[in-house]
This record gives sequence, structure tokens and C-alpha cells, in this order.
Amino acid sequence: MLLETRKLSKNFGGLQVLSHLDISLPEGQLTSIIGPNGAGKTTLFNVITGRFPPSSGQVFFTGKDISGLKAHVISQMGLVRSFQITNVFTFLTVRENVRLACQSRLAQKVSLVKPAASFGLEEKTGDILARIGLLPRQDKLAGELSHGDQRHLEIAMTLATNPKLLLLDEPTSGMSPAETGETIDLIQEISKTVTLLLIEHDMNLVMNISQKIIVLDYGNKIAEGTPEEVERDPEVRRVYLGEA
Amino acid sequence: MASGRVDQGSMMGWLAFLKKYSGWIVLVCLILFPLSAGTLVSGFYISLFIRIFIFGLVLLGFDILMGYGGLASFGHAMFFGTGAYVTAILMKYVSPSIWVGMGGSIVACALGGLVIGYLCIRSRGLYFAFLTFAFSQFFFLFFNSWSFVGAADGMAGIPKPTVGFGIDLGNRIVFYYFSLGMLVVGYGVARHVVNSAFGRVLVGIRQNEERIAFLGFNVQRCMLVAFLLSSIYGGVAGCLFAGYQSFVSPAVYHWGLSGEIMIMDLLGGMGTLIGPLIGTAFVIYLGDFLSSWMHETWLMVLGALYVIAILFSPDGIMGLMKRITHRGT
Amino acid sequence: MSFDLFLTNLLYGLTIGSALILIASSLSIIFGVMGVVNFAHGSLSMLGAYLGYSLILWKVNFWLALVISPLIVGGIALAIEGFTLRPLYSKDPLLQFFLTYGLAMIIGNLVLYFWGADPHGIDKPLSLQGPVSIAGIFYPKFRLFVFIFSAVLSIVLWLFIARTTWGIILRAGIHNRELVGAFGINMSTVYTFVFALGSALAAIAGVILGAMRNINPAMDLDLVVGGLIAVVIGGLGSFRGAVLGALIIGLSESFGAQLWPGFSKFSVYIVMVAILLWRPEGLIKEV
Repeated sequence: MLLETRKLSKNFGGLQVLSHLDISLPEGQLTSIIGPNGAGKTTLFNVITGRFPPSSGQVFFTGKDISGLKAHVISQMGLVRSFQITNVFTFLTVRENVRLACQSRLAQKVSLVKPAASFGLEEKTGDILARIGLLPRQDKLAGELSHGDQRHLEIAMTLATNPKLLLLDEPTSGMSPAETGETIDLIQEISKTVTLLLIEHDMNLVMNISQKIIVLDYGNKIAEGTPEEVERDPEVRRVYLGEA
Repeated sequence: MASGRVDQGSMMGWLAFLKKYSGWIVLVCLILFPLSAGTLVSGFYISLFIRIFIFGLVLLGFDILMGYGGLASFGHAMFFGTGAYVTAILMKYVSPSIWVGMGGSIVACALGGLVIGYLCIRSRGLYFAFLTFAFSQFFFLFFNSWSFVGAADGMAGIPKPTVGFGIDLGNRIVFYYFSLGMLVVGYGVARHVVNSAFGRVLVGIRQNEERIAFLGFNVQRCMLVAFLLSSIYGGVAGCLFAGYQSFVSPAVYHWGLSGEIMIMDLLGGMGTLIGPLIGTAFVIYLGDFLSSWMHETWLMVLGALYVIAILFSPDGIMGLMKRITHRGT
Repeated sequence: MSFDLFLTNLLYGLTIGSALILIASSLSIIFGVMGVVNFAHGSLSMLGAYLGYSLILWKVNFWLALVISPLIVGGIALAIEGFTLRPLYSKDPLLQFFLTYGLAMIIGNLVLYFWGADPHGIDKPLSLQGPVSIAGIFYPKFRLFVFIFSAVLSIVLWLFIARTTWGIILRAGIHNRELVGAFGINMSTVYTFVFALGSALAAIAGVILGAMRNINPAMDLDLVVGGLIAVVIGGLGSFRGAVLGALIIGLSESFGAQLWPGFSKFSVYIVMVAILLWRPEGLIKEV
């Protein structure tokens, strides 16, 4: 198992957001997490990636216990996330954004000694920009990009860190159908080499590309399985469609 | 920036040439200055420039922390003051060698920077400013009442510094070149730091600290390093100050000095390294010029300039120049 | 410490504290509503003190001076807010802080320029001179006046915030500026009002504190730092917190000066560092 959570719980004050979640993600799989608003999906990401420590329970990544570790440590282990609300460096150019992400994986990532230009990051930066399709806009300030391009930049930056497991938080939020289509292609291409965990609201997307779906409601896992299995699950139908 | 070919014949060509090599031109001028001007006039200006060089060093370190890293330290006088007092004490009681003073200042400020930095780095923005302010007030109040260093009257009788090699550092012109040399070295180091991988991360932290952390960078450690660098710059500058003045008083720890440092950085242009040097020169020259007839109340003018800059050109003189030259092209 | 000494220090601490409440609470409200940490607050207070001094020097009645001075300072604050603060509202709060620092420099040095560096005393009205007997000790009448006056004014302010429509708008504004604006209330007017009122209160505090002790061109730092620490102790934006913080500062200054004479100034900053490191949100758990 690449990622495993055991009885993972998180509460804020009196509010229980995650309850005893057991999740296992094998390597190479594309999994989606769905659930109504407030189900705890983003909180799950936050706890896994070290933004908040768990209230109880554990998180294992490549067999190691990462519960409560700091965010930058977890990131260095290969567990990387994108953000639901675009979180890029608005006053740096697109190229500089991606380059900074590439820099994060160098051994001398915060070296004071050698000039930054000597690290040969330009080639890798160019490759990623080309792969995501942002090469023509590489000299624009990230804050000036269209919404869809900014979401793609988010993904580009996560890719630049050579992740083993990539957590994408609503990658297509706010996108037009055309942009969504592009993003789906991108995700499917990435999934060939990277294990993916998605939070998504777009049901078509989820049903089409996921190999496994996990359904959360009020911090509990109420269903898990292939898209077909989840579609037929009565609990899921109740939560989403209100059927008795 | 200057285009590839410089047409030396045309006006634009000359301007571009000047812009590209302006730093070197200024440096050459500064080197030649004491040798050329008459002794009566130059005596005053030599003093002025020495002070500009000394405070320029403080600003270089400060700009790394605030201009690039985004942390507004409202207590930077504490490192300048520590450098000054440590040097004064060492020179008076141990050895007049400036290197001893400098070594002591660097050690003291590095230690202080580590401890105080570690405590303060967990806070940001206003809270960081308040914390650094409070710590610097500790230093001020302490040295203002410590009888060993003369309390509020300050410490006099510091011997003229020696630098070895048979050079008389007590000579003002020699000290001019010494401090200019230190500034040049300091600038070179600062420029190198800012262009390094670390420098890039620092800029990223200022813009989006969370993202930097999630990319895998240890934010706390980076900020601590920036704080440490700025504290050491302050200490070295303080050392030079004590060596030059032969007298130190608690004024070196005064919060007004911390405020002036912030003002010099903003007026010059934060986050450019050159800007703060320009800002330092501007403020010190203006201060000298105005205080001869306004005394302390020239600070009113400085405050007004500060307010105007914040309202109309928060990126300082450098930003203003950039906008003017862009409008020309 | 004898009981008499204790009582004297207690009264003095409460007196300073209650005058500080005016400064701290107005600072806190300005921050809460406008998001601005007004470093010039102490300077405006000092300006009020000096204006009061000059007015009384020109034979204006003390009570009249106590009204005119805050009015003038309030007017100046109006101008300051309109010309300098307003353009910065959407910008970096650090920039706003820098601005108020610059303003403090201007105002502080204006005072120095016009009134000189020597400390002065403000003539107290005859009716308030001399001591009064409380619980067996003699306490200066004027200090008692400062305590009662500040306390009453603070209570009035509290009632204003808690009971009137304006006050409710203010409190709502502290919690959610955009929402209040969305209700059609002109936030710009609210800001101007808050800043002017806050500055006027600071001026009143300056006059009575100045009359109680003395006025000097360095008092602006003491006032603003005292105010800031009080606000930080209580939590930025909390009125109750400002009260608590102000009383703590007042008492620690009074008892500190008695027990560790040179040390009392230190203690203020120790408290500041301790709070900022240990509990920067302040001691009051404001819901």
C-alpha cells in the first residue's frame, strides 16, 4: 500500500470532521474521493499532507508513519498536493513558479553558495511547461493567467516535484467544459506514472476516469469500490439523491 | 535593460551604457573622491560617506530580511547596537584591533540572532514587528542603565582602531577606504545570497509562505538564516561605527534608529539591494543637511517623505526610476 | 509592604490603568474596525496633552480645554484619515503600520518643534488640587478625578458600543467588515468616525495624564507602547481585553516602580514578549 490511514480522526473544537477513516491506496491507482459539501474531503487532504495533525489515528506513506509530521517533510517524501483555491506565486512568472517547484527536489535546494542559475533547472522546467501546455505563456505573471491556466499551473508545480502520490483538490473547479476536457486528458496522462488521489465534484469525470471511488459523508467512509459498484450502492444513492 | 549593441555615438547609447555600468561608475567615483577634492570640503564629506557606508551595511542585511523575505523587523537597532558596544568594550579592554572587535561583534550578533530569531520567527507581520521591537527595547533599557558602559552617558575613551599591516586605521581617509571596502564585500555577498537557490526560496516565502512549505522547503529554517544574516550585517556595521566614533551611547539601540532603518529601506526600494543603499545615502545626506538648522525636528521632514512615499511610491526610488524609464521606452 | 503603601500603589495603578483604558480601547476599536494598528495613537494623545497645556496657559478654563483639545485632535484625525489612511485600506496592513509610524514621526516632531524639549506641567483646576482622604490614606484629589473620570468615560464608551445602533454597527464591523458594508452602511464613514472618535479619546487621556504627571516630547512612545501592550494582552479588537490589559499595565507600572525602581520599564516589555510568544491572540477568549 502506498498510502494507508488507520482510524484517522480529526476534530476542530467540538466539531468532528473526520471519523475513524480507514483508507488504503495501492500504487499506480487513480482514486477519487467524493461526497457532499462538508464531508471532510479537503480536511482529509490537509491531515494527510501535514497541514493539520490528526486528532487520533495514523497515516502511513510507503509504510512509514507520517502522522503529525510537518508539511515540508511529507512533501519531500513524495506526497504532494494541489490546492482547491489556486495557491501559486502571483508575482512570479509561470516559468519561475515551475522552476521553484523543480528546485525543491534538489539536494542543495536552499544552498547559499552556488548561484541558482548554475543548477541546470531550466531544462526540466521547460519540459514540464511543455507537458502542461503552458510554454507559450511562461513569461506571464502567474496572477495574470486565466483561471483554467492557473489550475493547470497548480498541477504543473506538483508534477515538478516528482511525486509518488499526488493529491489533486478539485482540479477542474471553475473550469469551462473545454478546459475540463483538457484537464481530464492531462490527469489521465499523469496517472500513467503517478498514483493519484482526486477530490472532485464533477460526477462524469469521476465515473469516467477513476479506478476506485471512495465516498465520504460527515467524515465517515460510507462506500468504496469501482465506479459501477459505487453507483449502485444504496447508501450513496441516499446521500446524493435522497432516496430512502 | 541595455540592448545587445551599444551605439556609442547616439544619446540613447550613452544612457544605456551609463545605466548598465552605473554601479561601477559610482564605485570608481567613490574610490577617487578622497584623492581629488580639497581637504576642507572633503573632510565633511568623508565623514558623511563613512556613515553612509556603515549604515549601508545595516541596510543590506535588513533588505535581505525584509525586502526579500518579507519580515519587518522593527528592532534592528539591537544588532547594530550590539556590534557597537561589543566592539567598544573589546577595543577598550582587550585589544584595539578592529578584527577583534569585528570577530566579537559577529559572534555576539550571530548568537543573539539565533536565539532572538528562533523566538521571533514563529510570528509574522505585525506580531513579528512588535516582538523585535520589544527585544530591542530590552537592549536599550539594559545598556541605558549598565554602569560599566557608562549607562545613559555612554562609553568614551575607545582607542583608535588598528588593522595591522602598518596601516593607520585612525586616519579618516584610511577608514573611508576600509569601510568602503567592507561595503563592497558586503554587497557582493548579499548579491550572491539573493541570486542563490536560497534567495529564490526567500522571495517565494514572502509571496506565498504556505505554498513554499508544501513544495517541501523548510520555511522556519530559511527565515532563521535570513534573520541571522541580517543580524550579522548589523553587527559588522556597529563594529565599524564604534571604531570610527571612539564613543558609543545607548542611542545606538534607540527604536528611532530601527525606524530610520525601515524608512531607508522603503525610500530606496525594498528588495533590490541597491535601493536601500540609495535610501541610506539619501536619508543620511538629507539629515545632515537639514539638521544643521532644524536640529532633531528634521525628522518631521523625513516622516513626511516617508508618508508620501508610502502613498505614492511604496517601491521607493528604485520603483520610481523604473517607472520613469519604462515610460520613456 | 504596609497596607497604606499597598493601597496607594493600588489606587495609582488603577488610576493609570483607567486612563490607559481610554487609549487602549480606542486603539483596539480602531484596529478591530479598520484593521489598522495606529502607531500614531500615542502621538495624537500627546498632541492633545500639549494643546491642553497651551490652552490652559492662555487662561482657558481647564474643563473647557478638556473639551476643545479633543475636538481639535479629532479634526486633525479626520484629515489624517481622509488623506493618508483611506488610500491604503485595500493594501498590505504592514504598509498601513508604516504609514502610522511616519505620521507618529511627523506629529511627534511637530510637538518638539513648537513646544520644545523641556517637560511641562499642566495647571490643575483649584477644585481638584490637594489631597483627599480615602480609607485612612491621603490620595491626591486630581488622581482620584482621573480615575473616576476615566472610569465613567470608559463606561459611557462601553454602553455606546454595547447598546446603541452605532455601537452595534461597530461591533459587527469588527467581526465582518464586508458583511456590514453589504448591508448598505457606508463603511468609509464608519472608519472616519471611528478614527476621529478614537483619536479624540486619546487626546482626552493625554490631557488628564499630562496634568497628573507631566507632558514631555517622549511621552508618545510610552503611551503608544502601553496602549499596544494592553491591546495585545487583551487581544486585538476586544474592548474587554483592552480594559484588562490597561489595568494590568497600570498596576504593574505602579507596583513595579515601587518594588523595582529601575526595573519597571523593563517589566512592560517582558510582559509584551511573554504574551506575544505564548498567547498572541490575547488572554480574552473572544467568541
